[in-house]
Amino acid sequence: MLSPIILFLYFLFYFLLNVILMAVYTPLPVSDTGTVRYRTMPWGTFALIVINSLVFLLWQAPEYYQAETVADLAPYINKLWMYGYRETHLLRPDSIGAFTTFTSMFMHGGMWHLFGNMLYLWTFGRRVEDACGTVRFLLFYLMSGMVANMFSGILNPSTVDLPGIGASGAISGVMGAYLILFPGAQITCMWAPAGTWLRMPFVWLMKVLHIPGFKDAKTWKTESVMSINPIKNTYIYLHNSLISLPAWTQLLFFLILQIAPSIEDIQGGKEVGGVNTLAHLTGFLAALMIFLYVRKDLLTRYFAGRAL
Amino acid sequence: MTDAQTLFRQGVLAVREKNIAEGRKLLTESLRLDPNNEMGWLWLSRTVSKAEIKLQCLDRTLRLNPANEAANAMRQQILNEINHRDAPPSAEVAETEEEAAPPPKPKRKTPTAAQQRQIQGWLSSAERLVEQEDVEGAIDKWIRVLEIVPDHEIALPSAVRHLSRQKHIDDAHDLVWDAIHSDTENPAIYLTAVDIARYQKNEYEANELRERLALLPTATEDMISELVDHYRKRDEHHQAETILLNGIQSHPQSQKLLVQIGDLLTDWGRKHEAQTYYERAARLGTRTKEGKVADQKLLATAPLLTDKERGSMTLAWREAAGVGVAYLLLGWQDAGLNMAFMGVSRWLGVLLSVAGAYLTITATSSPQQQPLGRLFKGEPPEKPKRKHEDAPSEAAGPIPAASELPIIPTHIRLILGSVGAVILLIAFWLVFSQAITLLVNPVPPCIPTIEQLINGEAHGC
Repeated sequence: MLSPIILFLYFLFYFLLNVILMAVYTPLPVSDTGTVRYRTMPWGTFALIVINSLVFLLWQAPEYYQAETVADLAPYINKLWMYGYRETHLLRPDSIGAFTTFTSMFMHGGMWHLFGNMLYLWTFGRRVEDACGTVRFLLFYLMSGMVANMFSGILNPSTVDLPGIGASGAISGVMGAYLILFPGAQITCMWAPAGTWLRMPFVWLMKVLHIPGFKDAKTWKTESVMSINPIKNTYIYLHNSLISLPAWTQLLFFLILQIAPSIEDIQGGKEVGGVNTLAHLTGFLAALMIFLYVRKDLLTRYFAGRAL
Repeated sequence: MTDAQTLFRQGVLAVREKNIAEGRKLLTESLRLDPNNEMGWLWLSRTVSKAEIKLQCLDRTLRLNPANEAANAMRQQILNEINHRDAPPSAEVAETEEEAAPPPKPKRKTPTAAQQRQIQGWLSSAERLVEQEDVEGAIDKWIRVLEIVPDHEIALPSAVRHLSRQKHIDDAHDLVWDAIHSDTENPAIYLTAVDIARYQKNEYEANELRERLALLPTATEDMISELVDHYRKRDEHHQAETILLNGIQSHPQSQKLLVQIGDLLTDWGRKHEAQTYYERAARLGTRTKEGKVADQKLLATAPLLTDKERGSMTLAWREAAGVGVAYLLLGWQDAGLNMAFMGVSRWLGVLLSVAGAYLTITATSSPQQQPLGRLFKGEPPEKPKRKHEDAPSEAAGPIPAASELPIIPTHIRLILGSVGAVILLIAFWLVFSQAITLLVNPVPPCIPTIEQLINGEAHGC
């Protein structure tokens, strides 16, 4: 039995770690700046964004946002229970069985849930789709979503039967595939002003030491000068709302952030609703199967150590 | 345009390989498609025997580009020959198939021991004579050496240097050409010959020599690069391309030359052809500087799908395995996330899904797998054409490079695709049977009340 002080210190450490990581390393990816080699129109990504948005806005949101009393939420909850993923209900007659693996992937729990997922899908999906082709990309997307649904259920010993919804498991798979295929690609991110002060020493060090890979976004015009480089006696820009970062930094940090809560879920079982980090983690790991879905020549090029 | 260019290049290569009839046929076909190819007419002139027809070809070249020096030089030469019928034919202009064969060259002989002693003696004498400022005497000794070894590495440069100083350029020219006719592979001799030809303002001969130099196995990549730069500075893209093609022939593994021709073709607007050379360079390895450059240049455009990938059965099965994995996950969930309960039918469904997917993939994305393509008596596909020849940004998928692999006939592909789709549907029904049954017989789910949810009693439902 851990003493309350150790528990408190653990909590404090974990909280601070999260705050630092969130503040310093939570740039919001908004676009992939890399070259799209096949110049494929990302119809698959577009279609997924449109379907997810329509399902939420037309089918879920009215009942969710127009509810004035708790009782008004009943139709919304009915849908969650009917079409959300519940691993215990795959064989029960009062469900649609394993079809929920598909339906749950296109449902969301709120506007921000939808927005965040679609933003990540937009950022990382296009290039992965380009590497796979539309049909194979969609198959990979569904496969990742299925892996996330299945293994977050299998690995979580919780007895509470809350339905899982959201595209994040599948999108985590896409992000994992991006990490495998294009780790060095640059991602344009929006960095919250709140993080400016926290990242100041890091950016300053990077600038002074000329650490490659961290570039200022060229597109942003309203830069503010925050400090003076003491070595070169020139201005350096510490505050930039848009910044290009190597994909691996964000994706690895995303992965790391999922690990601790996932282990917690596996150990004790998640008893309440919220972010299913275990689905993120397992979806991310499903990306190891991306080599079954990428284009033929890209596969040979990848293993020859050539640029993708 | 690309077809005409390909035929042109093949024609030029055939002429170079002394296959004059084939070269003439290819060049004629190329000019039928693109009559405005000035170099095409110039090369065609080398494949015909009659001086009058030759002149007609050169006139076509000059009509397209009155400043074409090579055409002007050749035209002048032919006119001179017509005026002096008794004069011997030019060594550079191939008159007929028979005449196109290389001129009789003195056979290279290894000097005997006695001759070698003689050579040493003459060289020593020449050295002494130079010291005594008797250059004429020294030249005489060197020439004696060159009569035995026409490309002697000491005698030839010494003789040429001193003859040039004394303004006996014609004599120096003859010595150098004797060495060239003796099949020398010393690139310095060709470079000297180029300088002499330029001094004599014979650009045509200089160009010929540069082309021959590029074909030498001893010509280094740097030499060829310099020659190419020479032409590129003067905007003579055709000549630069010819030199590079020759250079690549003798240095097929040279990434530098492959990248250079890619750059040349890119500047010229022939991006698709450029990509084939970048791809070739990159495939030789990306650890070298040029390999990296080639690979990076490919990044700016779309990659090429090669016959290796098109014809691979393994790669097609790999895609089918991807579908199989998805079906396995479906079956696993349909069995309540318990693989032990999957049963024979679901496993059969998974296997069928791989087979069905393979047939569908064969019909759609991998119709050139071998030996299937040959088994179904397919023909190599027609050379694909892009709507926007040099605008890959507007097209999807890899660049369809020309392929020699037979493609499965369309009717067979239709059958394979249909059978594959049916098998996939059957497999879906097998692996997802439980879910399908539940979907078609809906029963309202047990929904917990809000209070149960708030109290964490959802599992009690």
